[in-house]
Amino acid sequence: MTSRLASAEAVQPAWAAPAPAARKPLLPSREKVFWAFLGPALALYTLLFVVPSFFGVWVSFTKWAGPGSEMSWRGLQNYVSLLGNEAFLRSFVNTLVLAVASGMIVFGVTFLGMMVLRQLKGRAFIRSVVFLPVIISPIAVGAAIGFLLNPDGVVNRLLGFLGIAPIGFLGPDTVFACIIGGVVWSSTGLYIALMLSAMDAIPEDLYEAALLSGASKWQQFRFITLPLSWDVFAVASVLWVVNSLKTFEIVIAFTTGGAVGVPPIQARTVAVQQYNSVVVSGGVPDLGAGAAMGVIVTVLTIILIVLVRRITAREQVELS
Amino acid sequence: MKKQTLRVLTAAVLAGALVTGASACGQKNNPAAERTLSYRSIWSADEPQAKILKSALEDFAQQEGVKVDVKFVGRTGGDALNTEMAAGQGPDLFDAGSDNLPAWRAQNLAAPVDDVLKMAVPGENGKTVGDLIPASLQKAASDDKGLGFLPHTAISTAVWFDAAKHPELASKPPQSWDEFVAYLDKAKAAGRTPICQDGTVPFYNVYWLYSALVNAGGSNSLLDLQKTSDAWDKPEVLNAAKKVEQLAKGGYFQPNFIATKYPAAQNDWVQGKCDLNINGTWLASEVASTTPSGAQIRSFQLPAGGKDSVEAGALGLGVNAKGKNAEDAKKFLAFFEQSKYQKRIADEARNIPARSDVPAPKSLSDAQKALADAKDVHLTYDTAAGNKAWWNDMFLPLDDQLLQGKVTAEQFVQQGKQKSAQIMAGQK
Amino acid sequence: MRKLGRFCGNVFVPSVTVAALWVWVVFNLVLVAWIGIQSLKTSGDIIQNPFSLPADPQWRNFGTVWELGQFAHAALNSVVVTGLGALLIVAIAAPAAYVLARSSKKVAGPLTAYFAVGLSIPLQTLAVPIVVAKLGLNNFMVDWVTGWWDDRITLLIFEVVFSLPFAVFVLTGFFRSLPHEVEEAAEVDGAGPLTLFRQIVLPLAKPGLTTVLVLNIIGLWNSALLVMLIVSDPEQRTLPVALLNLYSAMQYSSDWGGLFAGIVILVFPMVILYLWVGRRIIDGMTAGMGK
Repeated sequence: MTSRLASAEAVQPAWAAPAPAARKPLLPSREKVFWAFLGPALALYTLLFVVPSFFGVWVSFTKWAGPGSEMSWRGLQNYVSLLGNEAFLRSFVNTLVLAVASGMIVFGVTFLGMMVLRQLKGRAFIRSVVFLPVIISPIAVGAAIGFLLNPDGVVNRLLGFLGIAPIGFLGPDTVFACIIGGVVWSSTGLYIALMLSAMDAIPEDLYEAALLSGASKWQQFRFITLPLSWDVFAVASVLWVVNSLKTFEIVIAFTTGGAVGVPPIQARTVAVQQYNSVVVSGGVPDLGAGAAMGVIVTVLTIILIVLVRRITAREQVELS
Repeated sequence: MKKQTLRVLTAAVLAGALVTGASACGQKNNPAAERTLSYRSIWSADEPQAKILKSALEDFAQQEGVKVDVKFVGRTGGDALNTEMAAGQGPDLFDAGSDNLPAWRAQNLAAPVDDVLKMAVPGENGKTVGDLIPASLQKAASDDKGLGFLPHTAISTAVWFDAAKHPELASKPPQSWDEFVAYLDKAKAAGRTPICQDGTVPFYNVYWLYSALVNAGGSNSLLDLQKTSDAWDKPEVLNAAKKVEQLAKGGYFQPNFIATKYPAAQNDWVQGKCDLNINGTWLASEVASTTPSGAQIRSFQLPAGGKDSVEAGALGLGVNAKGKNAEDAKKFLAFFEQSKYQKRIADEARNIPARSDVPAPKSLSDAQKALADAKDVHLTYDTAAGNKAWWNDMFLPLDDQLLQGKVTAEQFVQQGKQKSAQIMAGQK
Repeated sequence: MRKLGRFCGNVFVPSVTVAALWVWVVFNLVLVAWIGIQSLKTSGDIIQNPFSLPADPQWRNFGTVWELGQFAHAALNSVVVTGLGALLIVAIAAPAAYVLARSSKKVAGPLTAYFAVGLSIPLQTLAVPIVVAKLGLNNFMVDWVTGWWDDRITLLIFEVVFSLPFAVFVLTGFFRSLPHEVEEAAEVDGAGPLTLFRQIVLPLAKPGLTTVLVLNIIGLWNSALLVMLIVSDPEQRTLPVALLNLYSAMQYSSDWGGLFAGIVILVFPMVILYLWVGRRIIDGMTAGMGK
């Protein structure tokens, strides 16, 4: 109990403390090791991540089939072609829909979960089991999914017992809905775990007081839980944006599985579209287009992160 | 802008320098006492082709005194292979087919192997490789730069059925499109599902349109569609689209076919749930483990009239232009054409061997005969699959819509023409 | 009207939510158990009777997959890469995050943002540079330094690099929220920076470090794309890629039993590990994540 209070205090960030004038003086030892501690991470990151990324930006202005083939300058043509490429536009829209729609469902379920799981018998068990999908590799999902969702697969057989006609889940028009379902199923557990932990840091007596005043579960959630865990929610939503815009493996899992092939346009995300253009199977690689898509996704991610942080930013709520 | 360009240029130059410097170092010679032949395969170790290749390589190693380094990586092994080869790190031998030859050529990775055609195959009384491999297959492995790889397997496309259940198809396969449709109607009236289709595989769905168009029109009838938009106006294109529309409207596919995840439909077909399945000649080998005993897999070419062109594709081995041991690689190509290995390709891998004098397995006898008798041949997908933006992003999805009956034949032609023009303009 | 609202808020919505959660829990458990059961059946049995229990457990499915599917090697590779990788990530990111969080140098803020930007760059963009870099490294090491090289080392390096943005981002926020007093007291007592970090800060930071460690272990275990790009030798690849290959090759063998056995080998170790230590870790997962 005491440790919870301590961590609750720790939740207040350092810069919420009193005015700069009262700030602690520089601690020379920490400053001394600044570069030594930072060095390895900075070096690795810059050399092996940032430099290749710049190379990628460079490639996005060219037409290139890979090392050994000619690289010809195309300026902005790759980007212009992408804007006219229906498949890319559809994948872009899909990616946005995935990020927003799944995000709303994931956090919707998470908030509902927070509301009821604060005091429920078996809550730890529930939290553990809903976390399971987070650790299951999408490839494992893909291997089993045909089996489950085929027109004569397990799910349709179950529906058959109930007298419902088989549904073509994996058809091009419906598979995207299934993918959203898959994404929600495999990510929500993580966010529930994160937010429940944040909720655990909130002292019990606040809720006791609220209960005495006759607050319903919803009111407790809205006026106590949510505000006091908002900071963690802000961080979690950034993580969600970053991860959902990269969705790749689960699309492959639901559509082509292990067989070489191309998912239907209705189901592609930008990551899938990009992978297709980079890989040899099925045609000459178009690395310029792939790189351009990468740049577009990066820009989109940054925009969405800034947006999300604007929406979730507000005054720190402190425990008095 | 200028400063930024300069920075980007510098970064690119540095990156390039790093790469070339590093790979130049790779050319430093390690004094090798013995010759090594390396091969990286997209077959998995437990597939029949892998086993055949492995034993052939072992025999070769013994005979020639070469050390052989072989890795069976599986289908995912192709993804980075081209980059590694281009940087001088690839194997001497790699798997190539008529469908990915353009990709290898684009990066100048496929060494010309025309000289292999003149090499004698061991134990065949002096017959050369060129004598034993039919011209149609050699064509399938060449482009305007010459022979790009040496085929060991012939690939084709056909409509497959089980002769044990449908002997009438074996004795008298449909000779015209109308006969074909008549058969479908009859099957449907008798309460059977005429066609099983793995609808989640777009390049299987396109077989109908592709066969209808190119069997009738011969080479370039499909390829032209991505080269000029006028090609779309030809009546043959609308005709082929109309045939597919007929299939879509007729309800000949299994319910929810478009949502069937591979390989469910072909397994259902071999177990008798439907009459027909359109597929490549690898089909019999793929469904081998679920084939009921007593089944007799046979095939016929989709009758589209016109030139009655037959697909002649090839699967084989290529020599890495940037490899270290091209000489032994080429020797092995000739070595592998021996009849004992070709027989194994027929018996174990259940594919059509490249050599016309080695009989294919019974299930493929019709296809092999069709290839041998063909008056006109064309390459797999008429090589139209090389242009990703056109094939993957436009043509296959549009064809899927046609097959589902979501667009009419006229709409298909109209949209195809318009979108192709767009793509062509963007790719200049 | 208020009664209705209250009913919704206090009884209806919560009950539906609880019910839904329990349904989800049951579904997950049944799914995991079902996969386990399928792995013990023959292929024909799986297709024809998906809901039955195996009459006679086919343990040999595991044997087949272990040898032919090269799962033995893949499992070892996965364990080594995951374990070493996760430790390395924390070892490299933690000191960096600590100084970024605590320093008052002007450059600290921008540098933190610099790392955070890496979160938004997708892997595919870097695919070709990665392959080129790995070849360069391979050549360099073989010819100039050691005479041999293992692509798995390259894999390890790149896995670490790609996880750095996330690790630094989370840990920076975490370190910023730690109280100053203990550190300052130790400093006054004359502790050097390394001792300070190792003996005072790290123990305080255990919840955050554990979070990052766990999330990285999950990510590394399931990483497939990077492995396919860097490692070409099938014996050196990891479990997800082995499973992917198994699934592709399954077209030819229709060995569903083997496939499910492969899934079990990929998934169950994580599940077991999670059940064993997961609870306690998740408890502390977000302490200090507020900023």
